Amino acid sequence: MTAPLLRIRDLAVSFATYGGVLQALDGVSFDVDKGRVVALVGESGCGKSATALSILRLLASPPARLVRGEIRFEGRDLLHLSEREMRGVRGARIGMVFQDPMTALNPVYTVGFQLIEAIRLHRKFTRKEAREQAIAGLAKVGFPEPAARIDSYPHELSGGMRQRVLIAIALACSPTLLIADEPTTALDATIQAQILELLQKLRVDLGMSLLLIAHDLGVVASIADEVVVLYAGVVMERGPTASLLSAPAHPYTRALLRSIPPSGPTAFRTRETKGRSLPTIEGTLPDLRSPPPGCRFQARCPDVVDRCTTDAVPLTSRSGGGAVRCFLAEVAEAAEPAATTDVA
Amino acid sequence: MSEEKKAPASRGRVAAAPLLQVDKLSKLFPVRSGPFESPRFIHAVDGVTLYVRRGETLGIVGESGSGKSTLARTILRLHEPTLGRIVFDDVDITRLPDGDLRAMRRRMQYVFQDPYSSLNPRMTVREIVSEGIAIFKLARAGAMADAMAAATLEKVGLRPDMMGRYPHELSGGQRQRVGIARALAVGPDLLACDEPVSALDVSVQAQVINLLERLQEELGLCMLFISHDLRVVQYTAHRTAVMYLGRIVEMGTTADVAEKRHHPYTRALFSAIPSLTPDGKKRLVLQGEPPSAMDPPKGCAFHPRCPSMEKGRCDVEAPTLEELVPGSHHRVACWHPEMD
Repeated sequence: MTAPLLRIRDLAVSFATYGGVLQALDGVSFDVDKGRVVALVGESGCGKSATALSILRLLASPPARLVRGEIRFEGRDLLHLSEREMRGVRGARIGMVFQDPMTALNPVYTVGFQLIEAIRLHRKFTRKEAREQAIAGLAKVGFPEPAARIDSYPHELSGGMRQRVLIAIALACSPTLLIADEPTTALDATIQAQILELLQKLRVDLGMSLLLIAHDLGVVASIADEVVVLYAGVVMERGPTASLLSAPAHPYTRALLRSIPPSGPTAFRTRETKGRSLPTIEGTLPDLRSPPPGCRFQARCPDVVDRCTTDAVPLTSRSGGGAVRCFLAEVAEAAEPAATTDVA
Repeated sequence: MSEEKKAPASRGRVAAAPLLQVDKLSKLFPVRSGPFESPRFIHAVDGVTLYVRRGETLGIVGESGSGKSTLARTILRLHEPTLGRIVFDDVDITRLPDGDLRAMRRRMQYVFQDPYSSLNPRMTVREIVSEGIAIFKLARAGAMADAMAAATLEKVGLRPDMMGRYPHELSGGQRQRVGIARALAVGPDLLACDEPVSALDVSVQAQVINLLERLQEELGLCMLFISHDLRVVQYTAHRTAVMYLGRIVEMGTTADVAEKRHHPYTRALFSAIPSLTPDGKKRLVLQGEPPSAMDPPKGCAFHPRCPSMEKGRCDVEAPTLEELVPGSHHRVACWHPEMD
């Protein structure tokens, strides 16, 4: 098997805060293969964005500090590149779409200017050539009348259009990996459907890999091949989307899935069935300045046993592909022989 | 605190007579393009008729700019209505003068969307929750008002020792609970919740939804529940109204709206809910974007995006909200409702 496009191993990042050192990521490992869509899911504060920003080395240091780990992309360890080499990766090889299309664009420049800027940073094009490229790029992301509207300012565009511009900028230099941080969260339902369809199409057309950061498991289900579930800076479970969502092995994944209001034509509640309440996850994230020994989910876990509060839990491979970090799931899998730790 | 107001006839049940009745309500905002230009008008809310009973939740769904928030704010008279009539508990409040309106305000409260920006960062939880108590003179300042605030906090699942904290010391879910406590402290009958869970994580979202449902059962609250998240509305609302460009295009019991989806826009909205179990079904993806409320399309506002648009009819004449089956209370504004 060929090496994955992006390979993250044992990534640990801490932040210095006034209250002490906060362990934001603690031993995160996963791969993104060529042409695949991998989704990072979890609640806010669990380390999704910290992972994405670490890949691009965009975390300000200090307060952020790389404790240990390796991020191998196209054969190079990104964590040991010089800032100058890194600039050749950012934008050129790895594109990034930020969460909020309302604030990610500069309001005082036209979208054309910002798109051309991105193109000319990495390629030796004349202004005219770059402009043609920019128009072609906008057309590719389904921006209507790109030649006429390339000189619009961000405030003249709707949220969906701005998100298309951001995707066009991220794709300007045909990156092999696109990182999208909550690309549809700020958008309306029908526009969200359009953007998801676009990402799906681009991935097929361009053979690009996608690292998607999302908290909406519905979005994840509709586009991702694999899912990585993060909790308090630790990978709790990962695996192929279909099996992970249909048969989650970790109590946290199960709790997350249960707390989503059911949908579908039979999900509505009549007056009679009201009063049945939605399952919730009680409690809050552990204090990452002094995480508890053992499992980080212990305080909120419905199935917690004594061992969970004392022993470090290894990430154990599952027979159906994927891996889970839970003693109870480990017992369930014990019949299967392959039980390697950490590196799948 | 709710003892002093007249107890709802049937707690947790839906009474027959509507508490809130809204007739052909419109809100127009003037927009001037220059100091000497005559203003043009945005029809943010355009002839909306609806009712909500005690103990009932009316879900209002639609995309941004469809007028959901403006509708709720106009109903509570946070905006002055331009046309139409609002009747709350048999009192016409459409043009109620300020003094009388003030008394009404106690009975109609608003829970705002963003718990990060809707709480004053310089006020403690105690000050935020007891501000209304002081304004409406529901308790003498001091120990009594404090006890009342503490009781309200307990009702929303916050410990009284939170009283001394500032909003920045709270998590998103706790802040939203404070926002709800602020509204509840004055003992309202109607609660307008504007995207109350949109800014929260799913696990916390479920807690807040459960809380709102429990409060409704206990206090017999009448609720307007605004959300762009159909999954949430579908789960929590008794009846649902779908808005598009300032108008209601479909309204009925949530079961009817979700099951029948007569309006093509309702269909697209429901189809856009990402499913957790990919079933390979092709999603119905609407082309284009909602038009501007500045110059809405002629005829049915949805016709430029509608898959079953009929030229000469849909683009000429606007359909009215009518019952498809008389007596069903399931109303649709469409010339070609989907019937399968």
